[in-house]
Amino acid sequence: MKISLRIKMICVILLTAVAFATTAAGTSYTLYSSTMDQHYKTLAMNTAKTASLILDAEAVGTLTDGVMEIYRTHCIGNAAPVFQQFTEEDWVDYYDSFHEITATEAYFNILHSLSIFREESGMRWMYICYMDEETEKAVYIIDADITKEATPSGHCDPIEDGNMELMRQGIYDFPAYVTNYEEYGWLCSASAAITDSDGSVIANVYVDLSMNEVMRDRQNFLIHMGLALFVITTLLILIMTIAVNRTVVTPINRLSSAAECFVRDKKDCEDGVSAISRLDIRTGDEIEKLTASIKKMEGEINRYLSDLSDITAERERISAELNIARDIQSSMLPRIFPERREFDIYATMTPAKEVGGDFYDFLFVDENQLVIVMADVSGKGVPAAMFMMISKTLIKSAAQAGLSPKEVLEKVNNQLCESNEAEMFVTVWLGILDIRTGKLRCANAGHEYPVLRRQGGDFELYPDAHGFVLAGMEDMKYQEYELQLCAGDTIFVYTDGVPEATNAQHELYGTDGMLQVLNENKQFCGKELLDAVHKGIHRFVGNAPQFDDITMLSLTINEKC
Amino acid sequence: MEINRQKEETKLTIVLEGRLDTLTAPQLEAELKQSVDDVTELVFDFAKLEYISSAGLRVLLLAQKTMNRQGSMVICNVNKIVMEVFEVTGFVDILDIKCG
Repeated sequence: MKISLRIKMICVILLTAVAFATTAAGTSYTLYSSTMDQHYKTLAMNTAKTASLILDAEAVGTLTDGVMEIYRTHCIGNAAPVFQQFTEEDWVDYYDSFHEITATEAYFNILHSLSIFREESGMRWMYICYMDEETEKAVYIIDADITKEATPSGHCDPIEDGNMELMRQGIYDFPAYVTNYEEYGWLCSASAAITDSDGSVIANVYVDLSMNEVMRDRQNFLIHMGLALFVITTLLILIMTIAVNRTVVTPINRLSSAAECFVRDKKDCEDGVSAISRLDIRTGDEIEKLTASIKKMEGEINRYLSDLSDITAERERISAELNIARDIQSSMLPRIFPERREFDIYATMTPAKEVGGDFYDFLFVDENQLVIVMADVSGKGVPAAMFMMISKTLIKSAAQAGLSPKEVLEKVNNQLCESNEAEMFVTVWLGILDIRTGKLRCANAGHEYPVLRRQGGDFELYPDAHGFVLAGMEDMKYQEYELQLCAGDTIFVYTDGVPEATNAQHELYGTDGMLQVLNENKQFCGKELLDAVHKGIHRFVGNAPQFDDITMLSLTINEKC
Repeated sequence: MEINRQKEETKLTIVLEGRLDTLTAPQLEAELKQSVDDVTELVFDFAKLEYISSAGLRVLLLAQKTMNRQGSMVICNVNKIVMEVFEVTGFVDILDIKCG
């Protein structure tokens, strides 16, 4: 699945913003809570202390003494009354017994001032208890509440464990602590001792803060904080999204669509300005750099493409010229064979894919002298073809001048050596047949051995006297030899393309293969013989490519001769 | 084809392995062109040379002509196939073929 850069960016921004907002809210809430807790605890304690100071200690003392006196009448020995076993009536009786105290003017005065103070200070409860160590009870003296919820005088609560501990150490000021009783609700309480002029404790004034209010306060804070953070975060997300869009996503999308257009534009219009070159991205960062790089790349691709088409055109031109060169070369070789009753001559040249340097030739010096040439220029390609042209022309003109085979080779060798910068050379077998006598005078300049078949015999290699190749060294001497050809004799000359024909297994056809196919077809002469050899080579080579020109010439003396 | 060369002062030995034909002859020609300058004794070891074509002969002829001017050139360990080529082309007359 592909997710666009825009979505990814927004997700990242959202996640970051949410993480930021949560952390901010959590931290400030924790900080706020602990600060406020401390604040409320201090407030409760301070309020309790203030209350203990503003109360008339003497009046409170009198009230306390009164309540405690009645309380003790209910006690069983040193133990508290057994409230658990109280019936409804018992309770009514118990509370009624305190009426004589609660009806006094002093009680009203204290209740009045304590109520005002409670309301002014915003406390949930405010009351005075006597901490009775004997019965381990906090006995209510007066509760500054004028509603029905007020705890009546004489009511007893167990003393908190922590407070009991403090009392044993003689401390009667109880720092704020939190309680949660079904009876009174969730409260934060603190208490301060009311002392007389001697410093002895008369009673304790208790102050209770409702924790629900504290919590409501915290909730309010959280809501306000959350709202503020939400607004800030939303704004931040919007700003960042717009910024990212403008600086990253949009430029990249433009780049991407311009790059997609590249090939299409190339096809559609040659002259038009491409989408890439029209791009104007100025972000001043890596994206601008990337744009510049892509523009540069486009230019280089365009240049490369035009170079490539130039090269292709050039290659096609060269290939076409090479084809023409090969045609010219082939057409240099005589295709019309003299139809004479004395002999039968035929030759073929099958060029390899690349233009090569094989050639054959035959010409009459006079009406009785037939010159036959078979030659192979070293190497391949245009250089070999050009060298072949020169060699062929020189040999032809030397032969036409009536020179002997040896003289032709020696003269042409020196002529070729004169201007042979490329150090090419050519192997030549040359024979001059006297038609009247059947005498064949030959010379061999580094060429393959001719093959000779005497009337009624087999084709056999004729290892003739060899000289060095033409154009190799100046002033080389060549030997001449003479063959007496009679009726039915055949001489077969060829280039190394025949014995060196190679099959797919890199095996050479060899002179043995060549002799075998010649002897299998020895009843033929001229065209039929050469066709048979061609077929034999083709059978051997199979599908392997032909590396070298294959050139052959056969001369058979007719029986009529 | 592989061309391995060993040089001892002014003696250069070149060991050829494979086929020296139209495709590989330019390699040898380039190799000789750059390393034959100060050589007075050039030795070719053909023990592992399987085949030589006319393009290969041309490079040998070039080398021979160069060495005629500045020293000597010897060809060693020529096998039967290559020797036949040397004989047929008359190269036996101009090359110094030794050691087998």
